[in-house]
Amino acid sequence: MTDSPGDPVTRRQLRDGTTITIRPIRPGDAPLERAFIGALSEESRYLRFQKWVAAPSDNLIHFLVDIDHARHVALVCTRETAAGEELVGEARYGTGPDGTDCEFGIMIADDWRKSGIAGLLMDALIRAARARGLKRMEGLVLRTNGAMLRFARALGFRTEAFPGDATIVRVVKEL
Amino acid sequence: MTAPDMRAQVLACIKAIAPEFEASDLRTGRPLRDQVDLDSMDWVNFFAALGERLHMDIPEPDYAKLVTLEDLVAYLETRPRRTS
Amino acid sequence: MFRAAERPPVLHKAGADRRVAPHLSDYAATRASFSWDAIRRELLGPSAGTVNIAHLAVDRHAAGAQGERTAFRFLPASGAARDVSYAELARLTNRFANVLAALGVMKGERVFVLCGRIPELYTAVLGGLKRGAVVSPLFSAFGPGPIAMRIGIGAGKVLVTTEALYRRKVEKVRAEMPTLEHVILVSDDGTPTAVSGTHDFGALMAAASDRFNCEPTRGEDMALLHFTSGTTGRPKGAVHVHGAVVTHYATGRYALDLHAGDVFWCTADPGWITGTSYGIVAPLLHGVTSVVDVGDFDAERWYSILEQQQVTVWYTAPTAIRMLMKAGPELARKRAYPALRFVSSVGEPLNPEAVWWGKDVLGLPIHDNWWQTETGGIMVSNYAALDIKPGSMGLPLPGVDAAIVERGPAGAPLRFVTEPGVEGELVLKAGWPSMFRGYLNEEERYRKCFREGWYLTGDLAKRDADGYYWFVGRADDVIKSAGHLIGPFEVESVLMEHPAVAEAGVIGKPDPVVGEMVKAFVSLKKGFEPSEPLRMELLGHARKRLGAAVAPKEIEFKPALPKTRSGKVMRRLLKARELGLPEGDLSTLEPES
Repeated sequence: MTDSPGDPVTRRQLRDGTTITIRPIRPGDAPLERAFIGALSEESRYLRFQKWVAAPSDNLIHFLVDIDHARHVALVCTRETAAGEELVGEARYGTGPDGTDCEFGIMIADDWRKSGIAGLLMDALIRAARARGLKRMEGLVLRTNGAMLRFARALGFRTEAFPGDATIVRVVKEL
Repeated sequence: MTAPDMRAQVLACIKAIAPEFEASDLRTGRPLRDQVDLDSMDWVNFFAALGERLHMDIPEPDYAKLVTLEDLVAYLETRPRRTS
Repeated sequence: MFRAAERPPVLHKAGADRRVAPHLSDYAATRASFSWDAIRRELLGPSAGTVNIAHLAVDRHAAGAQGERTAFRFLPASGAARDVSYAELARLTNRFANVLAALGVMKGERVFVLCGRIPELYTAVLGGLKRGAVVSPLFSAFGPGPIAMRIGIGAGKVLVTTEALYRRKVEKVRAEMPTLEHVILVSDDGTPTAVSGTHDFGALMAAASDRFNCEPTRGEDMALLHFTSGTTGRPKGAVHVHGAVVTHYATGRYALDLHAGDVFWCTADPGWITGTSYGIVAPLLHGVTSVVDVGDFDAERWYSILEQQQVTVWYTAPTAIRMLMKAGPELARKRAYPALRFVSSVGEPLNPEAVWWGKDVLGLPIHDNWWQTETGGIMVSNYAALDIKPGSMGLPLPGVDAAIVERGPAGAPLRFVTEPGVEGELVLKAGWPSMFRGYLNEEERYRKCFREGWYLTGDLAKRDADGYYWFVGRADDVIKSAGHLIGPFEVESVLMEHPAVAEAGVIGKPDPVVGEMVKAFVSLKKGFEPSEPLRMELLGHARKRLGAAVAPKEIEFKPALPKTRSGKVMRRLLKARELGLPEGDLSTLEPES
């Protein structure tokens, strides 16, 4: 575990003028991450974790926040508010056993859909994966999650059937 | 086995399938399935568990006759035990 | 009896299978000449404009020569059958419509009915429709949680239930249903009920007139609300209109082949849409006699009903058929069913063995058909006059256009699959009369079900070179148990309410009888250890909240649920491990901690 992972911190201005920051997640982000997931709609949480997640458990927060930044990489998108930093999106991947491919997951605050941050997060995540020498990124998307499938295609992912489970579509991109 | 023992065995089998069931809520002479929330699958599983516990064969055609707890206890007392 | 594997792929019909000439004998010709407008004119006559399901089902026959014909024959758990004629049903439902009017129930307001298959249920549903109220029958095996949630979503004003069900399932959650103004209790033993905050059904009925002017509802007025489970969130209330009756009439004729003089037995509970569309509406539209078994499934009892009631057309479900198969052929052969002419099944795909079992044991093959809560009526079916391909759901009804598509991302055009045998999503051309008109208060969810004028069913299927459709699976992870949809989400959320539970994952475990059985995997919070008493406590908690029909049948403790490296829970993997199947590509799996 390292407190200063190598991925860059970038600040961007969105179309509507809001300034956001994309940076690696830190162990100290636990309260922000908890508030972020807690505020997601049930449906968003379901689409991300593919099960029912109520208030996120300590285990889940630990899994999401306390990572090695080598095999498990996570980037967050935050903005400054009067009350301090607020987390509005995150994207992450975990590396497979042979060290050449990874599986990603992304969550965006319900009010921040279509703001453009999902694309910024994924671009940064793909750069991070390439920087670590990974050759392939994939995601497991619920077949009913049309918005995510469209988004993945726009990012250059191709879709494949997932053997043994008709409810899931695998999206794959060579890096 | 005495009738109260048999009754206790039956109640234990219900409880294993429907743990929310309270024996104290049971009213004498009323159909069991009106008082315990058991669907068809639970009902079949209940008889299977009962047969297992009491080492008895309870043929499916007999289920229909076994409406109340009292019916069931009286019926079970007449059934032979499996020897093995 | 030989194994299904040795059976031919097509079950050919012989002349003996058609003692009564089926309504549909030439599929292509009937399809070509069919029009919904013609059926509508035939059913509604010149009175087009006003359409009321209860009027068409009951009053239309009650007034004429059919009035003394038995509409329902109720078979109680024990004791004598009770026959209700069309004329008596008209009076009973008039009384109940007056009861609702006296309670201030207005057109469009919601009346929920939570009863076993007792006569009062049928009176309440049809009487409610006469009043112009929107009726929602709920399955009596639901627990307090699902009941309160559905009445809440539907803004129920009136609930009709029995005293026993009220005490067990409603009383404690009544505060969760602020819209509920009136609860009407049916007595369990014939003596009037006296429960504070409720009315007695018998007393209200006795005080009401048996004359009522049926509400002149229009075809697009909401009539029935049936709930169905989705993958996420709350159950969806599918809205059905009075005009749906045109589909019920047409499918009663072409899919169920109802003829005057038939004795029809639909075994479904009206808490599910099959038990309403075909357990109440369709047979009454055709003026036939319906058998209603108040008791629960029992193999011997069912065979005796088929024999003694001289059932001619039987509409049942794969789960029941498989339970009969399990009970052995000897039980069936103790009796004879010379009156039986047509057997049909719905709820989940009927396995070929079951189709052939019908032929061997009852002397009649079983005709599978396919539809959903959203479609309101049968859409794809096997027919009395046509050959069956066992395992197939059959051919689309006349008036129904079906296709297989690749959905692709939202916004992209549908790609129609024309090659035979290629899997895709089953879609139906929108516009048949019983199509649902909305999910109550969920416009967005409804809109997402349609694209380019097609209804997307969420069921994966394929079509063979002869046009027969074959079910493949669900496109989402809704569990189908005993023909009913159960949302894993609804079950997981209730398990998560328990203080010991850290994580819950729910799957449909394949089961030879009920299709899929609800199984829950649970990991515990720190400080809790797996134990038999805790497992029982969780099971009891889930059953108390959800009821036997929805709650898991099995709960298994796991140190952690299998997740992908990004933290997604893999139901597929829970299932594969449960069944000892190959786990497939696990490169994405997070090692279990």
